[in-house]
Order: sequence, then C-alpha cells, then structure tokens
Amino acid sequence: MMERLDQLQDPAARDAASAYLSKLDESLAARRKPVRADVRAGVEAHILEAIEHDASADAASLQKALTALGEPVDFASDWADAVEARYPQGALEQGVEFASARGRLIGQALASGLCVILGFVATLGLIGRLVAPESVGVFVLADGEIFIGTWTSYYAAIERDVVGAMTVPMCLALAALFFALGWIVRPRAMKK
Amino acid sequence: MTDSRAEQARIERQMRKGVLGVAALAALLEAPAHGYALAQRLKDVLGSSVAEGTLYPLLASFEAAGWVKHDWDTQQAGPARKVHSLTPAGEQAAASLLTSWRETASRIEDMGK
Repeated sequence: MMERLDQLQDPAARDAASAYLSKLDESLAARRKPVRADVRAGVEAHILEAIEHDASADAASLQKALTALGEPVDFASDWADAVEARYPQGALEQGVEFASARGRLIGQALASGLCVILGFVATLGLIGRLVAPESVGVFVLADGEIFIGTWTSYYAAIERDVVGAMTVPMCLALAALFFALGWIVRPRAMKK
Repeated sequence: MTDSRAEQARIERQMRKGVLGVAALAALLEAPAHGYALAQRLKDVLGSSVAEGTLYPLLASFEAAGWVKHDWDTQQAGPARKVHSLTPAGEQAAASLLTSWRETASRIEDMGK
C-alpha cells in the first residue's frame, strides 16, 4: 500500500503528481511552514485515497483525481486561511515576522532611493554633456589618470575623451535603467 | 440560446457551491467520514461541478468554529486516515442550517407556483 505520491511506479504519473504538488507549493509559498505542511499532507492524503493507494496507478487515473480535486490556486489559499488557527504564533515568531517584513520594506525603499539618485546623476551627466561637452564625460588626463564627471582644464589638460559621442546615449540609457530599477524595487506597500 | 444555457450552468454552479457547506454538514450528520469519502458523497449529491478541493477549507473552518472534530482511523491498512465527525455544537448548527435551507427552498418553490 503506497503511502507517498513519489512512490508511484509510472514515471508519467509521478511527474504529474510532482507538477501538481509544485503548483500547490507555489500557492502556499507565503504561508508558514506548519500551515504549508498541513495543507500539503491533506492534499496528498486525498490524492492517495482517490487512486486507492495503488502504486501502479497510471497517469490517466492520477490526472482524473487531480482534475476532480481542482487547481491548487482555487482552494489552497482558503484552506491555508482555515488551518492558520491550528498553529498560533508565539510572541517571538510574531516579532521575527514583523521585523522581517519591516526590514524588507526598508531595504526596498533604500534600494529604490539609491536607484533614483543614480538616475538623477545620469540625467545631470546627460544635460551637462549637452551643455558643456568638453567638461563632462569620461576622460584620460595628461598624467594618465582616468576621470569620470565634470572637469576643467584649469587643473590638468585632457588627453582623450574616452566615451566620446557615445556619452549622451550612455547617460540616457543609464538614467532610464536606474529609474526603471527604482520603480521595480520600490516598496510593495507603494504598489497599487 | 448558448448564452442562456451558459447562464443557467453558471447559476447552477454557484448554487451548488453555495450549498456545499450545508451539504457537508448534512453528510456528516449521517455519518462520520474521511475527506475523500465525504467528497465522493457530496459529488453524488451535487455533481462534479464543485471541485473536491473546495471541501477541505470548509472542513478546516468548521473545525476552527468547533463544529467538526477529527480522529485518526488506524484500523485499516496503510496510513492513518483523518475521520471527520460533528461535535454537539456542529450537530446543532447542521440541524439549524438544514431547517433554514428547507424553509428557503420551500419559499422559493412557492414563488414559482
């Protein structure tokens, strides 16, 4: 008598069961470990009953059982909500969860802010290059040092403009990239 | 015509889904059952349009409400089975909901006469 779905003998049936359980795990990814384990055990028990604990069940009979059970996304969340009460959180666990959520939010805000600042720097570079192309860019100085930013020949002569005509499109691309990254990593609470 | 049939099927699906909780309690009033057996019993009554997976969240919420409890059946071969049964509070709730269901169904039938 089979007790676990990974004991199915038919590779196609085993793959189908594994794919279904992966979808279930995805639906439960945000849940706590005991809640995930409870729901998963319930789902596995149901499927095993449906195929009568028969290790030689074929892919068709397994698929029939999975179809009757329904898509995990349609019931996993409600199921997890309902079993949450069985696993009350301790004060420490609640604190860790709260701190973790806050930490993630702060990390996202910092990363997003940094990206926006870099986006503005690239935009300023773009404007500066358009206004004063001889002073803004990536230069090799007469003494061989590489300089990035705004420069004046008062200090030392410029030997070579490294990026040259590509400076404007590069600044434009960098500005777009940083602003896009800033938007992507913005804190979840700010998303609509 | 197709729209009419689709609309009828949609309402039937909603109706079956809506009465799933009452039907589950009524089935447990008949006899304790493990999840899969209960799902099959309900499928006999409500048809296959209600996914079996939707039964389990209901059972878990009934358990949280103190209406349903479970025991482990270790009599049969293989892994232990979780057998669900009604608590006295669940029996009361089931009886009350069934009365309400009958009254509602009766009123709806009267309207259609």
